[in-house]
Amino acid sequence: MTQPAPRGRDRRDRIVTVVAVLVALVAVGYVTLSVLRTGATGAEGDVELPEGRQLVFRSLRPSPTFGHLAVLPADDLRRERVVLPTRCERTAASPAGGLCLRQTRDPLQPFAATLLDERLRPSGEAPVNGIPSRARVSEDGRYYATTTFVTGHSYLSDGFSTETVIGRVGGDPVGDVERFTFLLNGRPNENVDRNVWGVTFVPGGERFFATVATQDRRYLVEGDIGRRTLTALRENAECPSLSPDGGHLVYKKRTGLNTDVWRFHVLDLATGAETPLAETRSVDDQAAWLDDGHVMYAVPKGGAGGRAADVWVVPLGAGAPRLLVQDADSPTVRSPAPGGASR
Amino acid sequence: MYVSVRDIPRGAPVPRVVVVLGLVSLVTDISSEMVTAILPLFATLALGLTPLAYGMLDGLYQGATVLVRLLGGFFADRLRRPKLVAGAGYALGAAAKLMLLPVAGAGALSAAVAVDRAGKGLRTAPRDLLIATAAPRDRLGRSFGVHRALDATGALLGPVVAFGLLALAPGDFDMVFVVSFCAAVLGVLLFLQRVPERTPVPDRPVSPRDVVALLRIGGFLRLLCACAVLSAATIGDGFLYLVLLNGESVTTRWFPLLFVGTSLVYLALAVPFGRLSDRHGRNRVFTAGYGLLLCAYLTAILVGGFLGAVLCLTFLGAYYAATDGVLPAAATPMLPAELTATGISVVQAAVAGGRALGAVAFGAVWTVTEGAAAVWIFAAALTAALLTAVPMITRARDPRTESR
Repeated sequence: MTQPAPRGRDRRDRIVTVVAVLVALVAVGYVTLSVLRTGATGAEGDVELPEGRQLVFRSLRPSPTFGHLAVLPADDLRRERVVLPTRCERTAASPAGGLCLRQTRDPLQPFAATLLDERLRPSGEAPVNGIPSRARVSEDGRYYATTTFVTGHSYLSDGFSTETVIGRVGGDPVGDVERFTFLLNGRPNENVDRNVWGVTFVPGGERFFATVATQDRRYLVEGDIGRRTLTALRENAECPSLSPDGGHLVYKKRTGLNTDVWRFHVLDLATGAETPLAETRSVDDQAAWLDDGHVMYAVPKGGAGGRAADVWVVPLGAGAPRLLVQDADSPTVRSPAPGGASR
Repeated sequence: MYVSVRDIPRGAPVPRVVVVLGLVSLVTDISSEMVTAILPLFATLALGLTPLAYGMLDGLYQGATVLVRLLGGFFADRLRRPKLVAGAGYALGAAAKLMLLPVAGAGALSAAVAVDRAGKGLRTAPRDLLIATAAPRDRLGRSFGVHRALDATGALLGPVVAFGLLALAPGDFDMVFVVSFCAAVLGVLLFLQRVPERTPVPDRPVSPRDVVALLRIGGFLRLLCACAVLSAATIGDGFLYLVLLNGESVTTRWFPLLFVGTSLVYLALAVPFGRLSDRHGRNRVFTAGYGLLLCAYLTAILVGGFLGAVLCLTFLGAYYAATDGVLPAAATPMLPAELTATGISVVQAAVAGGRALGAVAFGAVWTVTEGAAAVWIFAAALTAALLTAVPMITRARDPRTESR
């Protein structure tokens, strides 16, 4: 330096060095703690799943098993949840198996889909592009669908899009649903800004419902895997979910002006009548059916670094929404074949 | 530290303060880029925001930083304490990382991002003033180049560190925020300890009227206008990467690597281009940088496949190397010493404002036309901007901007 070093300088140097070392130690210590915490998994090996209808979800209890797959008997939700070793960001289950979208340790492929067998154990892997948003599996377990946000790197916040892929278990993948022919008013629509999200499968066939967005409008569409088509049914309906009896669709309907404010509505597929549900909060989730008369969804509640949520349920008819499962999200119900594979 | 400016032979190292400032930027950029890299993940996965909402939040503050940048420059000059103002900026950046820990919603997240951006805006101009003061006049381009190369290295390492930590403990965003905070504190300590404050020269304080007087400096005004015109014709890296994606030159899987490629070229060329600018004229290298950007546009649409992507990223990285550090180096010699930080912040604000405008305009064009057509339109706009800017700043040689 140009000026002569004052005497107190050495002392100050030493103090700053000590502080710097302490700060570095804090960082190292915190990382070590965090790694040890996540390293500890819950149940190991084979886990006894509850009998009968099961509610499968992601457990968000503040514990080392935060984010792990968990199961409760759908008819007795006060029982203690069974926590599985698999960690997911989104999950969905059917009698034949399930799907878990999870974070990987590969920075180039940060997310992957793990297929689950009928006892919800990992049985296969499929790559996934982007940040997981929705997951669904078909009733017979033949198909699964993933919706992700393809934001790429943070420098790309200028543009984002969703990617929705349908996979066939043990067969050729069906691929990116965006490439299906989109029929709007009976005519193929060629808009390039098309985005597809929120698939729900129709049991026993190759049909599904989903959302298609183009030119700032969002359509409820009926998809056909065999014919590779998406047919627009009505406007302003996102993330549909088909009831177990196939009679109703529940979806998010935009009620705010140009903002992300939604309200769940139910469509009677036979009559075409649309009814708002009693839940008045704006919830950004693909709802799922607890049974033919009740719809459930996750409501974020902050805490745990903003990652905590509860699952709520609302009846189709009269009745207020109520808390169904605390510290949980991504709920789906499955009914394993009686006396069958889940045993 | 150097003894005499005159005695330094060609190829001699830059002043130590410049290297220290570069290291401070390196550490600080690791800290802030680790957060920036995982913030979309945190916002969508943990907070449940839609990427659109996050994108809007991000865009909102790009505009706000322009104003803070100008304030940072002005106060550094007015208080004659660039170290104080820059130090406050670094400290704000560290505080923002701490604010992320209890975040539970869009409101708190946007507050933390706002503080972080304010810190970044505040420190940029006073830090560049510290570099400009320390560097010998004939070595300005090179000194800024060294600083920018170190800075870019930090920006490159940040996401690597963040994703590496997330791989160790998937989903533990808090841990990444804590590490980022610690890195930011280390940056602040290094800055406080190793960067000397410029001894204040007793003089009449700078007033806003003096800032207006800057515009009467012909060479500076021409450089400012050229900056605004050129940067308004830029597409924005994000969109350029999307063009490559749409042209099927790359798949989404390789998306993060596009940024890495650009940064590598940038940090490799920052010093050589800085030296080139010292020798052949800083305004020339600066405008040539936009010529390189034009090449990036054209390769993105004309050359397909992997080769197209590589060429495009090389040109894009070279564009950053030829403009980012060269601009303050070009502006400094034209500015009165007591208004250097203000002047640097004004040209940088012009670039930032121009880029924001360009990004919005390109977004609008992009939605009404197909990808390639939108790039053609911007290639034409950039050509027009170059034809306007080149005679403005490279013909009339201002003796003060050239070292020969």
